[in-house]
Amino acid sequence: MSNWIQSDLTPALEWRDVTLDLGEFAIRDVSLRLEPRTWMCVIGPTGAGKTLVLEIAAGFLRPTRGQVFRGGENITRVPPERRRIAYIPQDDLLFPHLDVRANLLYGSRGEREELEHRLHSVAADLRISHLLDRRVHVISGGEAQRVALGRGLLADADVLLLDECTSALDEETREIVGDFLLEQRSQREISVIHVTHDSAEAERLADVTVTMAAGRITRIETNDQGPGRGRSEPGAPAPLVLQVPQVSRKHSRNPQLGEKIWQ
Amino acid sequence: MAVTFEMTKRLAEMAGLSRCVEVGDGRTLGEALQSLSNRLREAGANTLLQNGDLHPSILVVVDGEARSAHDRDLPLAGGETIDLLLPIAGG
Repeated sequence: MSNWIQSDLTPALEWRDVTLDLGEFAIRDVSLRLEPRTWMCVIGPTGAGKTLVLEIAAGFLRPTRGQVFRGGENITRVPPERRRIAYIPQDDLLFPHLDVRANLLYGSRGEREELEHRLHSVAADLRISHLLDRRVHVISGGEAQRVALGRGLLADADVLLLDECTSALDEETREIVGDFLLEQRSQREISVIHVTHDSAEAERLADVTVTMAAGRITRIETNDQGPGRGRSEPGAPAPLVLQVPQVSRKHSRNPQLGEKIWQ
Repeated sequence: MAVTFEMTKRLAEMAGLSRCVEVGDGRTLGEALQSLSNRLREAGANTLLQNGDLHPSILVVVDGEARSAHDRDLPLAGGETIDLLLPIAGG
């Protein structure tokens, strides 16, 4: 029996009947709610429209029909830089003209001293402190992904959009990064939408898994690892757990492995 | 006065163009951007345009230095590389 209950709370993000047709890529009549502090994975085959859902939320693309809301505010026409949503893409992760430090601080706001403190804290957590003064073209793909994740966490944003941004990592590293992000989600009270091809990763990380095919949502399902499990019809709002999901490393197969991989 | 625009992979996909686009009319940054906008319009890449110009949210970086809409009069010598980037951090 499911203990997932429909929420009266304002969703962190909401798509209402969103349609966009770019020819090769399209989504149609997508309605979806990302509840606060929820980790939502979006899975589906190539061309399903997963990235378009993120890009519309980020503001890179404007839907031909429908609206997008953030915290109850209609942001359909708000430019990306004013949405307070951090987007970490699959490709072109970093700004090539900036060094690692400047990439990390891009999009962050606050007092300089506080920013420096947060910068070094996140860099230490991601084991990229030694890279801060390097140009981005001399760091590895795995390091670039960690820098991009750090930038997303430092940005003045409480919604994180992850577009297969750990796909280049091996399975064990991906698991460790996932654990770290789960901790960050809990500590920073952020909401996450995570596009992935890896259904096992979705099973491990997600509170809610959305399946897309041919530009439409075909299934919304709560996760076994979450507090409850249920299923709703396509197009219906995603359910919400009334208690914030408890985050732990208990699903990590080998927590000690992380220290080796980061080094 | 040819300059080369280099788009991110995703921007090139949206534009339906290759990642590198060379334009010949570029005595200033504004002229080069207008030439690119014309190419985008011809390619039907309207998602990258706003009111006929390159979408203002797209970041413009000339030979490693970020530029803004206020730099349209920036003179170009020719041979510059102009990176076009998405504002991927949000914030």
